[in-house]
Amino acid sequence: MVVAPTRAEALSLFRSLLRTARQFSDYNIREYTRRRAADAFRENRALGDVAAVAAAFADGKKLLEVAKRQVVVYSLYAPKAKSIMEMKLQ
Amino acid sequence: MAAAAALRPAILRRIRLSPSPAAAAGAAAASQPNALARWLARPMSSHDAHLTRDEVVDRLLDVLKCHPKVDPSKVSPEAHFEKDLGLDSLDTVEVVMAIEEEFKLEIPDQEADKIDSLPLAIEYVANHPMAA
Amino acid sequence: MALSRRLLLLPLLLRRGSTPSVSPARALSTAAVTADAPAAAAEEEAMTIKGVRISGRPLYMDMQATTPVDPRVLDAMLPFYLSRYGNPHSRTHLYGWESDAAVEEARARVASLVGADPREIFFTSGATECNNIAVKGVMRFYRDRRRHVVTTQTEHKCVLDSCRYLQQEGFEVTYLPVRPDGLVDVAQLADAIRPDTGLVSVMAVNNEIGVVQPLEEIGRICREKGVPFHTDAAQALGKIPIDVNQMGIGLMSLSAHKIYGPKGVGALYLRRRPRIRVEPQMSGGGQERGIRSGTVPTPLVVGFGAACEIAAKEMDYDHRRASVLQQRLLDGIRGQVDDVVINGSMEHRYPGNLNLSFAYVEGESLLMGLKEVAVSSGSACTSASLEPSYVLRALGVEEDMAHTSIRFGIGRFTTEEEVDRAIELTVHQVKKLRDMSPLYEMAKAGIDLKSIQWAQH
Repeated sequence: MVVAPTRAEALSLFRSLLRTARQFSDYNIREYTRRRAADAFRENRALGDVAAVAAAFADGKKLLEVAKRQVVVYSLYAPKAKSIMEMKLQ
Repeated sequence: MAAAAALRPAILRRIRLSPSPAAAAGAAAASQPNALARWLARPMSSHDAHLTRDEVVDRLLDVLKCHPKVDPSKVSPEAHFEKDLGLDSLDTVEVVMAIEEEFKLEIPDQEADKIDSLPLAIEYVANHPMAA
Repeated sequence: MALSRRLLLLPLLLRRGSTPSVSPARALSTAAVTADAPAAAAEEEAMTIKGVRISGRPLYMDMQATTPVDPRVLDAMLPFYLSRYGNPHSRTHLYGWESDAAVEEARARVASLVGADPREIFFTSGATECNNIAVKGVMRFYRDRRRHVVTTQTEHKCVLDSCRYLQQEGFEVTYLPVRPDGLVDVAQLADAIRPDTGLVSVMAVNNEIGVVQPLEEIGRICREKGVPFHTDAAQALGKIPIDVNQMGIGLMSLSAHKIYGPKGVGALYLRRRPRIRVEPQMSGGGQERGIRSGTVPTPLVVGFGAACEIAAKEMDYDHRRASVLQQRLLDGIRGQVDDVVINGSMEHRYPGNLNLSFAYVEGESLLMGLKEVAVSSGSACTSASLEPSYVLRALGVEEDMAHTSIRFGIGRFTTEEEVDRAIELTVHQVKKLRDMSPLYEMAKAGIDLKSIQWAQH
């Protein structure tokens, strides 16, 4: 029995993904994770089929877990030197 | 908050190096994270006690104007995200995240869901004790 | 031209010459701290490397050399570096079984990305090894009847080198020229095939100029003539759609680290129907059905499988983005500097590659000036030398233009801001070098540079 997520659940997942993305120490990974999540949620808004929505939601939840773990791994080995993309922004 | 962030490594470095009386006090504080946070935050609250409402409004307007989907000319302190600025629910999540970043806050899901207009955002940030 | 280039290079050579005087001290200090702080030592190395002081990590646009590992890939790999360390060939315990299952799952993922059967996928150490097994392995297996190889002048070094090796063993090789846009002439290729041709090897996407060869047509010709078609698809996998059946591919070389996977692993696709056989290039325990002996590295293979699964899902998205960023980069540079030439076809090209030549600018000086952008001129294998790229020469690019080429690589993690910064830095550097260049001044004054007689010495 597949159940589509509620609107609040979907928005909460989106928010969690953006929050996790923000924590990546690596400039490129941080930007990508944020951008990819935003684009995926916009793309998937057009999904009408309950099963497809549920599958996309499950994928997103899995990716959130991956991102949460990798945020930690990246922070453990963050290079001291930042990307030049971050240096001049400050 | 920035000053506290800069202070923290300096303090931690001293704790590790020399067990001087001052460092010992710091170490005691470090063993209780909340106490340390309070201790670090104390000198700050004395000079920039709280953001003024005008400052909050100005910075919130800037956050909205910088959002790629927003027409800056439509941004006003009374604007509703959806009705006036044409933002959808996903845009709104992004805007609220940008507000969090601007004011160094973490807004809980339940609160964040309710913020759908500038008046509500102003209300929330202006009344938040940690907004910086 | 040669003289002027040498003059331009003089400061560069001097700068390089001065590095040895500082390096011993640095080597010593590095050695001293390596034991307890390897990461810190690497940091220090990164900051003043090759005598160049760098303030931050450069923005990375050398995606054809290698790509960063996708965090989703690393996440899939880590368990196999921690608790699941078994040898996939161990048959007697759980450790072996779980590793074996993971390897087979990865094999299926690689196969599915190229429309193959998992039994047609053989894990190797990378595309170079695949190319060696494919080129030498096929020819040696069928050596009695097949004595001839058809390939192109713009193949990767390891294919060309394997062919040279075969020539020393008495095989014959036809190195087809390419058109000025980098594409092979299919009619010419068909004509080059002889009754004793044992292999046609044409790469899918060129590493230097990014052109996409007409695989489907080549595959059809090879099928008609009954010759196995090998393609080096290291730069194509996960970036353009590949279907081994639709494209008539008999053998194919694949690499993980070009698609956000780990370095040190690749796969050879070897067709089962009609079966193509190869002579193994390494003796050993007979792993990978005897094609490639040696313990299969589970973490790497799992990472490769994950990278393929992600690539299958993300190909359209990544491709769209690479196209947008490529256009942005090209427009940004061309809008501000003139005499910029694109090397290779723009129409038949993977958009993550933009190889540009900047007339009147010495490529090496440009690269040295662009130390905040990690790009390369020519392929990484040959960029250590000052020889112009053989790929660009094969396109008929004149030597002076070949010397001014820069390859910009756009990948999954490249941002708009990075592209904008790359434009800004490149434009600044090109203008600066042209301001110093008497050649540019003469060209702008309407003097045909080819009419100049250079003094001999």
